[in-house]
Amino acid sequence: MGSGEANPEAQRAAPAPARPAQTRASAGNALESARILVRDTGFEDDDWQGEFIRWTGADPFPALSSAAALDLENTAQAEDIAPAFGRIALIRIAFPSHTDGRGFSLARHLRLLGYRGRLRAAGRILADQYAMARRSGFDEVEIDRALAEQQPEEQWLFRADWRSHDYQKRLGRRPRRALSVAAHRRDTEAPPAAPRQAP
Amino acid sequence: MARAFRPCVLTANDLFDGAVVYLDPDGAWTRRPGAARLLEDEAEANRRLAAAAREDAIVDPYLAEAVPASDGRPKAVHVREALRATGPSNYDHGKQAGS
Amino acid sequence: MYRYDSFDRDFVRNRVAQFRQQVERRIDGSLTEEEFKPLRLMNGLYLQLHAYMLRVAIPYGTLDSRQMRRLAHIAERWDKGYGHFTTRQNVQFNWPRLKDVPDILDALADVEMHAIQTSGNCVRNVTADHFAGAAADEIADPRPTAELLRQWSTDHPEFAFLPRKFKIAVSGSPVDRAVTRAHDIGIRIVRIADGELGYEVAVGGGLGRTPVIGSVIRKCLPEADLLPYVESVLQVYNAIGRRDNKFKARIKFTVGEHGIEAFRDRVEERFRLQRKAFGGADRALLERIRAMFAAPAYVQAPTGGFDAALARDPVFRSFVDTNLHPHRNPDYAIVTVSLKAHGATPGDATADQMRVIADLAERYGHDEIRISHEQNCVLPHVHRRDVPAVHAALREAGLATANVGLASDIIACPGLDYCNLATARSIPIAQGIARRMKERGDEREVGDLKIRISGCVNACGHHHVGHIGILGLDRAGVENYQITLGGDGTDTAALGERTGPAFPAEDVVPAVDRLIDTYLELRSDDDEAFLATYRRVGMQPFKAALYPDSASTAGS
Ligand code: HEM
Ligand code: SF4
Repeated sequence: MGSGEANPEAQRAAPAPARPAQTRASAGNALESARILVRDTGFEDDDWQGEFIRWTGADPFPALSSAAALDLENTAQAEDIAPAFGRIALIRIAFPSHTDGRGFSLARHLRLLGYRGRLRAAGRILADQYAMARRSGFDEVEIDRALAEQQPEEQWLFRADWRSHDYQKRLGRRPRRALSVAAHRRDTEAPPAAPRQAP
Repeated sequence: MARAFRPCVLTANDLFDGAVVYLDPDGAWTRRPGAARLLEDEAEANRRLAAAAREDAIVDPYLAEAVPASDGRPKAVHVREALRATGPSNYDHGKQAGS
Repeated sequence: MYRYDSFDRDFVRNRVAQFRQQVERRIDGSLTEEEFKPLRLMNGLYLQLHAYMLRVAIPYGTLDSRQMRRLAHIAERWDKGYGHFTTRQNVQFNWPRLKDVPDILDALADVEMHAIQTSGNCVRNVTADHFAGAAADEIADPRPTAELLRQWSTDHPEFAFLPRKFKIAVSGSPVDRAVTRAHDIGIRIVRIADGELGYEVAVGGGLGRTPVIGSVIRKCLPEADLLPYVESVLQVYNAIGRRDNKFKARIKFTVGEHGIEAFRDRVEERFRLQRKAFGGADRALLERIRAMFAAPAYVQAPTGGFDAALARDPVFRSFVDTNLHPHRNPDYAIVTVSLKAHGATPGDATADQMRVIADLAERYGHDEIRISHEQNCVLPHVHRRDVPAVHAALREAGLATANVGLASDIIACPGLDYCNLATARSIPIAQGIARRMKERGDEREVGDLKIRISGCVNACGHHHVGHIGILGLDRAGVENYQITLGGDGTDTAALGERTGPAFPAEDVVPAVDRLIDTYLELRSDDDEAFLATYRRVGMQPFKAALYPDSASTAGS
């Protein structure tokens, strides 16, 4: 599994130049990174090397010329962002607490409005909520190291079967059609070696 | 509006069966209300509470006001605590069944 | 009745496996109590005053003999030999041990039952009219709709962490026996065009410390739009419901703060999107579910024995008077089994009593049992010729109390005897009033009187909608009770009005006594019920009876 070289500060600081490619990691231990991605296959280091732009809702995308990553509060209005979907490669929605479920509905709303890019849930999320996140339209979950230590990989893998036992699927509730392209690709291919970034 | 400190017992529920437990004079958890330690010093009570909050085998610790009964044992002030110390009033299913 | 298919079965088993793992993680310390709590609550496990409490869902209050026997078995094996039936069509076990709970859940799964979403800030057990599929006045059986909603809401990925809990009730009859207007969403089946059925949808009802009667958000929703519409309501609520203050977090406050019009606009906007997201599988499923709720194969036989027993036996007569309701098939009756013997804990049934009810359902009742929000059991389909035999068997088991709808048929929440949030006891008050009614010996003469008791402002005992409502409060560590009059939980819904200062525990029974005396003096004739008299004469005479010493009875 690819692993970044674990310099989270560089990634957090804004604005940081997007790095062209990923450096090969020496030790493949995802836990060494402060930012851990949880996917159906388990823990990975974050492969997104670009910056995240904080969406304030006021000025629509002055900085967005090409595909970018957007940081959203869970109070954001999906409709406001819809006009720019084509220019966004990744949306990261903050989960301030595991008892605050707004992010799930926001994700679903974005998907229903046609967002097909990568969608990430980040923050205080429990392993037991992984299936909810995936079913709401998220591709992945981002947690910090402390949370990953407290809730190790097996606990997340235990819920990686999010496609089974899904009443919504049985009720024919889509947005599966609108689900992200990235997710489909990941389902059928090995994890990509390079970060998915627009040219 | 800070309320003046009153003597109290430190109580919680047991993680495994939910039973009411009290901190005893040896610092262990007892199920017998009469064996609870009456905490009369505010700083000590708070210290004990903070320590209990980190314990894994008990749940929801808190300080419950109590007064010494004639035999010197702590006695609940509030009806809620009196019921916790005995059990429900409709059946002898709580602590009243055992003692 | 709805039967699980392999999907439902696997789902429930899988949830038990998850919870078993979560319990292990709690016990080994990898989950803290703060993290475990929402997970155990999602599986119906509370921590009460003296022990854990497991709340098991009885979806829309329907169960069969096998399920009832399993509840009896659980009560004996893992609890203290009884269960408590609640106003929300659940059954609560008051003494399970944490490590046994996964086993209990497996035992429930064997009979297609679970405790999922009976707690926590999610969509709770969907309730329905307890006479569903049997009542003479019904437009359509609400249970297929309730079952569809159950499946839709089960493990819904977006709605497990709402601002607050969310309760949905469905009624299929113009007479609202499901108290739909006191629910976050209340759904009533209505006729929209000839032959075609739809739903009237109300939102923002609720009891609790701020009782609100729900507002109609859609007068007639086509049947096919139910799930996308309800989902839209929940999405809007999830996004804009308050999370800063637990006491203002229910949807009734959201609707109140934004206004029903603005709330409706948001819902309709979302609904346009949502509608496209459901492809029709939900409607096909509803048809399949509906087939499972087909009427039982009614027996065609003379009802002879019934009339003979009625003529012969006054005890049977009084049972028939109060505990039978008209069935849509005139040869049949709906039989209510009162769990309110005078002096008993309202809603409690022992394992033996559960088995008696199960046997009777199997033998005489097309194997169907209902739990009513009034905390009684119902045999919805009993042929009239079998009612005498049912009555005799109930009598033998101490279950033939003929008091349904009378003053001793009291709803009472667990109160301070069990509940962690309580401010006063409810059960001993209910027991005291029922005993007093027995002493008075005139409760049949008094007639229709709904007494409802809650042990704190959360109003689980429906005191706001009791003709006489009693609310237990805490005054400096001592129990204290406030009385309200004139509440009504039916289609003429109204909230009770406070009489004045609260009473200490020992004065509550005498106070109720005086209220009943006053009513008997004031009623225009024997047919004028308590509520009608109250509505006619108002609060004043009752107030005067309650507070004889106070010169001025104005204000409180
Ligand atoms: C014993 C544990 C229980 C706890 C901790 C509990 C807690 C609560 C709370 C906090 C509320 C207020 C919710 C709000 O306004 O936001 C509430 C309401 C309610 N509960 Fe309970 N309850 C318990 C038992 C019961 C029982 C046994 C019943 C049925 C007999 C019941 C039925 C209801 C009903 C009908 C309401 C009012 C409807 C509404 O939600 O607005 N509860 N409960
Ligand atoms: S009304 Fe209060 S005391 Fe009664 S069950 Fe509800 S929360 Fe507990």
